[in-house]
Amino acid sequence: MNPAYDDGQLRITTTLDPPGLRLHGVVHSLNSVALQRELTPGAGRRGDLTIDATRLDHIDVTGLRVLASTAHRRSSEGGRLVLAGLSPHLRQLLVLLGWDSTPGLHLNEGGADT
Amino acid sequence: MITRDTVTEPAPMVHQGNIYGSDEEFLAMAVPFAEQGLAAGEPVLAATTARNIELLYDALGPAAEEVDYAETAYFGRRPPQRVAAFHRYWLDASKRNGGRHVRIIAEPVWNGRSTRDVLAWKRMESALNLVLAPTGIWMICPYDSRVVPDDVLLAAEQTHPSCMQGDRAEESGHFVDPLRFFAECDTPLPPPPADAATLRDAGFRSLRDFLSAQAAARGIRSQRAMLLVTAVNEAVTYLSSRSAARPTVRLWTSPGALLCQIDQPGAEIDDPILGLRAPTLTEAPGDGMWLTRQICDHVDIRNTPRGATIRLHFPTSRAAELLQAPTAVF
Repeated sequence: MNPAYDDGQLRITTTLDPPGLRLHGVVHSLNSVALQRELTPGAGRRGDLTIDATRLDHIDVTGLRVLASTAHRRSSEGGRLVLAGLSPHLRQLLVLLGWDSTPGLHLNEGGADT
Repeated sequence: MITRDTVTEPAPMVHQGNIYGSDEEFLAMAVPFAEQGLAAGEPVLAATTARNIELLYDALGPAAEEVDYAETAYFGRRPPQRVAAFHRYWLDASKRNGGRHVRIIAEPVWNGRSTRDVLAWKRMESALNLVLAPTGIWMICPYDSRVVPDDVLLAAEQTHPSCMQGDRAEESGHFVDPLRFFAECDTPLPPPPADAATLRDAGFRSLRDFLSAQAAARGIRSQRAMLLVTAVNEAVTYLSSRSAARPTVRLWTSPGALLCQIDQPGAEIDDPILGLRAPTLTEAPGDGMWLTRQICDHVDIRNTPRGATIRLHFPTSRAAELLQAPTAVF
């Protein structure tokens, strides 16, 4: 599948089963806007939106905020943002920020299909 | 209908010291503070020594059931984690207090600390005057004069606008404005060693490659190396917002610490509590530095004639504490 976004550092691919996005590479302050943009069309949908983070090497505070804010917004519409395949250090960052318990955010350390 | 409760102004932050020299003097402060809080329906937390928690519980009788407690040594290992612990308690407790005070007895541990640690905890006591300002926390910090050295007792008066004697508040004659106190604490840093590994003109990719290689060469495991990348990258991102120059990153080790220094020419850091405000989902300048502080053992921040410097102290692979929780990344 053609990526929805690719800047050489971050590649975002749309997934259909489960519906969501696969992130590959690095999210930082300069390309987190692209992540935000790709997450926006799904914001109105009910149900789960799954982010496959298995190939996500690094994400900074701006990227984590995009994910947590999206989850928060979806929760008010009865939906969730599922973070799948999250590495221990990325989970640790969410805990340190206090965002791991954001309403609508579901952390799934297994793969995207578990 | 507007009731009296809904128009009441939120309770203002209060940060007080309490120098006590006996169990009786501790209880003369702690018992009325806790009882008055409970009577007013305010959450009360006693973050003090196990001995003092026991004393307070015995003195309070059945009311002790209503007091939250934390053995102080485990309620925030370093000052930034202490701030995070207070923040989490405030977030939870303020939901159930209706705009009234959240009361905290917060006794830091002073015994057995390194010179650097003592300085960091004194500095945090001063910083709490700014950090807690947006909250309705009423914090009393007890200092046990039987065991605490004189310089720390002086710092107690320098870092708390008032001190409690029993249930009476007295203005601290020695209180020092936090900005002036920080200036006294933040002495010039010794220069990095000449043979420090150096990366000039750091961008994200070169920074990550540099840190990963350096961490691997020093036996730091990959998940922890990624935390190091986050700590340094957030500092670099912040400094890059302060001047257009590209930073120089130096890395070296000393026993017990991997040190990483970022020098940003032409930058000036004007936020005295950078990285000590918990980020929210609304972006604020420098909030990535919260992660830097939470990940590192110590963070030194200095302005110099040439620019701004941030020096991080990260645990080395020799840190045996890290082996105690193999599933966590700490």
